[in-house]
Amino acid sequence: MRGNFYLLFVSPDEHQTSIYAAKIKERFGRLPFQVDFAIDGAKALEKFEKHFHHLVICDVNMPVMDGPSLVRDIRKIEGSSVIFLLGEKRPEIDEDSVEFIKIPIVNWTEFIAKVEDVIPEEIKIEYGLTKRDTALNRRLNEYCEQYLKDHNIEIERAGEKEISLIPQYFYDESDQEKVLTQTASEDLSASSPGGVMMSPLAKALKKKFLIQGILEILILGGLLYYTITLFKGGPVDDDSFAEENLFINLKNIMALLTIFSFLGYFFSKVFEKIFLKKEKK
Amino acid sequence: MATLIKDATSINEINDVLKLRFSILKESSNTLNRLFGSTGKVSDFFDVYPNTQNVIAYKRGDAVATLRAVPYDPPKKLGGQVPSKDNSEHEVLNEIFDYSEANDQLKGEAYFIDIVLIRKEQSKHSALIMALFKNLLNTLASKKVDYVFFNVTGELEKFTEELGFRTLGETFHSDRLKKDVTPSVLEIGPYYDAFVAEIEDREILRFQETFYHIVYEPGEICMTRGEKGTTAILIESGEVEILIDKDDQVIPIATVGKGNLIGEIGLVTNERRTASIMAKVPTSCIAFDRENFMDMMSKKPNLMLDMFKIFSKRLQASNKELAKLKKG
Repeated sequence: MRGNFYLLFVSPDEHQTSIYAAKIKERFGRLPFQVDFAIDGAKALEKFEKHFHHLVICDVNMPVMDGPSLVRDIRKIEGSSVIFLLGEKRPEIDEDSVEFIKIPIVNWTEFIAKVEDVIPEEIKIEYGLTKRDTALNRRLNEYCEQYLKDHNIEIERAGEKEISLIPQYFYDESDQEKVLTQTASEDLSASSPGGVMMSPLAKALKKKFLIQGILEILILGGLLYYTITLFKGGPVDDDSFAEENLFINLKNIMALLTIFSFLGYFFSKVFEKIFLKKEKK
Repeated sequence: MATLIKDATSINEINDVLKLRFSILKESSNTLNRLFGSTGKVSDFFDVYPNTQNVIAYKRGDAVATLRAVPYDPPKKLGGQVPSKDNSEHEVLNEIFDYSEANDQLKGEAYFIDIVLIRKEQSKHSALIMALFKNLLNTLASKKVDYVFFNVTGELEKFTEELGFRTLGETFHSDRLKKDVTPSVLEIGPYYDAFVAEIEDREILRFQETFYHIVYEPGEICMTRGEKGTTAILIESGEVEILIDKDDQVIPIATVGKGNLIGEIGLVTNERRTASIMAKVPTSCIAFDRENFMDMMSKKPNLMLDMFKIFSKRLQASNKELAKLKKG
């Protein structure tokens, strides 16, 4: 499974939290972040117990449970999470992996750099996050470029075409690529590796065709039934009132409309089948 | 940029696989009609078989390549014609050559590699393609599959040859694929034995469920000193250089090749990386990360013993080195 980076915000001030979250998203939008929010210490612990969080950002001053006590409780569960304490005055807490950050935050770059420092390197590499311009990174880049030059190594260029063992008729002839996007639906949580898996698209399409099929049958059946009953209706009465005449005329019109729509529908289906068959070849 | 290769078993990954395959379809109901009309089965593209094994390669978070293997189902009809719709589910590729004869001779469980899709940008990277196949074959080996059938096409011949596939019949032209295909088979047992033989620390294989492959390009930094890393990498092919930065200079201190494990300390502790690593040639590695590793440990605690064995070997090796240095 692709690893996620779990981040927990703990603060009663939702407005401030949303600002931090927005800044983080700005820089790390592409990364697989799983962000949880908690209003107080108790809820934070609940969330923390459910899943390990790599980074916890919490206020020093909170009603009921304050920052340092939350830190102590978290440490009882897990020792390796990094905790950022945000406050105006540094509390008396001396612990590994607990960092105090003075608010209001003036230097956002520094804050983001601190968060970036906590993210495991492999997630950054996997998602191609541009490396920070530190002295070390610069030196390493220079070394790598020099190495490639010295050994005349050229990065393998792209091939001329895709390698594909999927039947040709699935390809778009005009060589355009459009992505058919489907997102996972909630009811797929029951699938297990090795079990029968239906993609959401498959399910949706199967359902769609089924519903369409049923509707078609109903419409056709309805039309047929209506046509038959109209004709079965019998001859027109001679001594009919104006109203009834109108009604009977309407009936005839309806009958004609029904027949034509039925025929039209039938022919369109036939046409479709012929037209599509030709396209196949 | 590093390309990551994983078994697609979670829903997110399967969706990535399907999106990748669908990216070659035009977004129109017309095509969908063709899709359903032509073979009469959606199973070509949708993973509706039980035990389907998908492998997907990611680069910078985007899916760039996928392979699929499905349990083999012998076709009911032979012949040079495209089989009719009531035939085996593998009519996409299993059209003319009948593997059932071979299946009778080779006893055991067979799978069929039936979908291969590698985007243009990656189609020249041989290390990536090898790693894709190896990932798939290793997973099948762990599922105790005995052999794999595959209709090999020209571009993939050199890879399948190296892996040990042997041809079963004559090359024929497939109308559906518009390519020449060669029916081939690979016996997983001998392949896996060869794979295992190249790994020094056999204990690592006990963690196979948590493996994934990474392919690094030459000149790429795999690990940086001072970073928090939680993966250990075992080099499967290629070479990497260990670099330290001393006095504002980057100095290579060692070259590490096939069969060696790097970064194992980060797997267990919170220590930051002590050195940087650069790949010298296209390098294919097996990686396992802390989350999966810890998960496995909690399920099978006796694996901890295997980890200790690996660490103590390392300690012994470095003690030896130290002793040599002191003497000399």
